[in-house]
Amino acid sequence: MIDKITDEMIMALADGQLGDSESERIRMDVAANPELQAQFEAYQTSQRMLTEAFAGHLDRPVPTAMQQVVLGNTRERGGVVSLDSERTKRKPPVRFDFLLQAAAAAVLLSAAALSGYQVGQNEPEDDAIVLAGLLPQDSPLQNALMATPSGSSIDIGQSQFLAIATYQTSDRQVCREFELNRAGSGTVGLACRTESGWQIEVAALNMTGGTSDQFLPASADAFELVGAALDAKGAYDGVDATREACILDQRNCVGQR
Amino acid sequence: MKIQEEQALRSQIVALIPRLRRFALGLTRNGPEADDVVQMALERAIGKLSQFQPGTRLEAWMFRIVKTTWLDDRRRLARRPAENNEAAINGFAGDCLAQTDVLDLRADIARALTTLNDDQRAVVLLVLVEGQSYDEASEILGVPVGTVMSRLSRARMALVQALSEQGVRP
Repeated sequence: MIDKITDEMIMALADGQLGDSESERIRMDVAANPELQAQFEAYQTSQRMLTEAFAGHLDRPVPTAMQQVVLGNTRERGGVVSLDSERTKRKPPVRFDFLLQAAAAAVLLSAAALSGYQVGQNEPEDDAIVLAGLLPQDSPLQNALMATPSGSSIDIGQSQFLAIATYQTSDRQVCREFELNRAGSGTVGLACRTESGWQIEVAALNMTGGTSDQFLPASADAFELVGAALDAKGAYDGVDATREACILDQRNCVGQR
Repeated sequence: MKIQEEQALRSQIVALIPRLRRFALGLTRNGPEADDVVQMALERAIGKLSQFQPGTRLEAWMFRIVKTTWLDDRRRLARRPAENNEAAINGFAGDCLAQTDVLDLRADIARALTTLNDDQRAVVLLVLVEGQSYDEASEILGVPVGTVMSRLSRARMALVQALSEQGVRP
């Protein structure tokens, strides 16, 4: 029995990614069918054009700063400025090792494994904590997660809640990325909706020294932690405003992108 | 990790920088922004050097860090449009960007890449430009090989269509 020739097979032939026998069989089928031949040539064309367009870019001299980042002593960077630090205009994260370990654990632990922390209610003085766990029903953060459109902010106690984006995983779980900013500190987090309520998957908070009266964003390290959590959930595809409104309202959103 | 091993690893990363810059250029379609992404990715890689597993592909590890850094940077810029206005525009207004002279890419290719979504663009660059096999691209992107192939197939047809609409003849 001869398998149907799929688009992917023709592409794999054009890319030289098939074994000899399969390659030969598909090549004959393609040669005998003008439509398949045109498709094969389109794949070849796309490869050639991309290759040509990017061919000269390897000859560009490597910036010294990049080499120094890699080759320089990690304890003494020789004056090389961290781009992340420069761009966010803030101090390096405090207790980052702790944050990294705790946040990584939060990604891996089950929803019930960690105790919850209600932002805006009984907040401890010590800001340098990682939040994780199931949020209590009707807690301010849960309500904010359920009702705040992405790009909008509301106040929760002394903090400003900013909804960043809504994501949906391949198994249809809804997750939201958010920030909680207050004077001198910034937190970035990821919460996902479960049958029991909203679960904080990971949240990392940075102290900035405590003297600033400005709202400051969380550090690049914190963004990376949330990015890793999104990656682990396969939830990098954000949803648009229409679909977000629908899924936050827990309506049947079939057919809406 | 022994000092000699770490030094060897660092040297190998330096050797990869031109390819990382090229990959980032394709993702961002903007030379300065691409270099920002690579610089941040290198900082991350060096910070995580102890996590690199000897015997695994350094190239795949670095491409993955660049891709993740790019996505994280886009998310970060999205939340601070006022503070990062120029960068945010460059990162998100692909249609406008492709018509400017700031690109370090051929304009027709840049415009064609703009028609692809992030996932499609990443897989096209890894396979067609960086010469990664489908299996290797699967490893870098963290998706099944079948997903790599379906994304790549759709992306290439879209590219050819976009170039054709611009009057570009193969």
